[in-house]
Amino acid sequence: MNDENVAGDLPVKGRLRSVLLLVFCCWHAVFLVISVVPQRTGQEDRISAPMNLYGMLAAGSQWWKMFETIPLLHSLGARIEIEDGAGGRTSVGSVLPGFVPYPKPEISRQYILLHRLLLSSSSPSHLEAYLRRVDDQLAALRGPAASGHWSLVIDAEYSRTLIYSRRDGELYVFATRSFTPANPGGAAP
Amino acid sequence: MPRMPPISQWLRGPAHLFLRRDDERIYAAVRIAFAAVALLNLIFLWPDRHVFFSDSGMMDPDVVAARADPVYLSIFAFARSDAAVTCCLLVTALALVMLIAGIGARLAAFWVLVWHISYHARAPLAMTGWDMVLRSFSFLVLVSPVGKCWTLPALLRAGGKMIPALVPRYGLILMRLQVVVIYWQSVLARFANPDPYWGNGEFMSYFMLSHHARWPGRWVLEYGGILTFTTYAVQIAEVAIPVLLWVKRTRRWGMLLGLALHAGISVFARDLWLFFLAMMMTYPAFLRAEDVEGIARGMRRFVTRGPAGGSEPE
Repeated sequence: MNDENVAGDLPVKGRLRSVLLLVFCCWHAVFLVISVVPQRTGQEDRISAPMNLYGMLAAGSQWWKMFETIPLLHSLGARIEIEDGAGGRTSVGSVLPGFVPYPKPEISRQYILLHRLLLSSSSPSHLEAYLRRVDDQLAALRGPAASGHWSLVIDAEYSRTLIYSRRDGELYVFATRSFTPANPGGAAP
Repeated sequence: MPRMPPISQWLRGPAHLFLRRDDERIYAAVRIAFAAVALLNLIFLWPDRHVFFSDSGMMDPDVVAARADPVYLSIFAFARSDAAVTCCLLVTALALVMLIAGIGARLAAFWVLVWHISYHARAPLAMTGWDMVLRSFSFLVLVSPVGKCWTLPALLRAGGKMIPALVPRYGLILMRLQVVVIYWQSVLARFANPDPYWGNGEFMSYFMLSHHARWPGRWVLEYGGILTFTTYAVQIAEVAIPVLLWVKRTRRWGMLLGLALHAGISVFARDLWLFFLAMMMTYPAFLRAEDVEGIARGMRRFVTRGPAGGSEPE
């Protein structure tokens, strides 16, 4: 096969177009083959910016960590508790806009969002921004007095270690944390 | 000194791999399956569109933009209000219907890619595995041959009797490679970021007790042996499926094994059926000409005899 034949064999119109198509295919194939090797958690930013940009436009993140981590969480619930000024507390939903209750049974996407927002250490700025939005929207809804006098309460159930569950039959352990704009790291109430 | 081979020889291998011709109906099957699953995903996003994408929702647009790596590219940088977000979803739904029908397919596929890039950028914390599958395929569908077969205009014009063209198969090869990456990286990630529960076989027991599980309960503790076996079987299946799919003789076994794996996840897990559909959507890329011919024959029979498969009138 000579150069002429290569062009002649190519099924797309135009020799230059065929060669460009071939170069793109080889490039994208190499990109995908390299992507088979997973990144180590926490080292995602080691990819070069141009590769990252190409990935963003052409292929997505290529980080396929399906069920990589052990799913220890059994249930998750979130609500916003507002101090009513008379020593009592009222609750509203945690989903913005509109303080809609966190859906039960859970919707996967809302669960993932809440989990990453609240319990994943990789997104503290998102959490802080969410708490600020809650504060702003509560103040708009209930007046400035509501600002700062509320907390986001998370109820979670975690699976116990199997060996202990087999011993006494108890499957889960309950934990509650609360978050406020002043304490975005969360604390047990 | 040995003479360097001409560039044509270097190109022969890749040209054979990527540019050999294949039945355009394989691309059509992928296009239709992809657009249908993406449309379903959109429909299930619809009730929460303001939660995820509008300025009044859960994620602050400024923080999202500031944390974007390397740049923030999203139509939601402009479509920020509730009404604008609704408009974007409606336009995307129209584009997906056009893609299914094969009307203005290239333009529709371009918008669908823009949509996927945009919503991933706007709501990165809410992205699921099936979003990533759809995202990677949105690009591959865009750059692949569109063809005329199995489009609504062709059906109306030729009544389904159009002779399919042969088109270069580069898009199918890249799609197949993408599926290999999805399965194999999932397995390799467990070695790169060691997780004792996959290693000791307890993963499936914890999974069955987790929020993912459809029927969590004490029964899980009594079936540790079976669940340990299932943990290892899942990993073996994830390694084997791409190989079985790619080899012509075993592709149907690969599809069967993949179907069993993902249907199993869908049955035992809650609310992961879109992941099942997204993975099944990738399998048409492994079809061969005889498979799509069989599908076409079945469709013709279905149309002429009706869904009940009754005999033709005497």
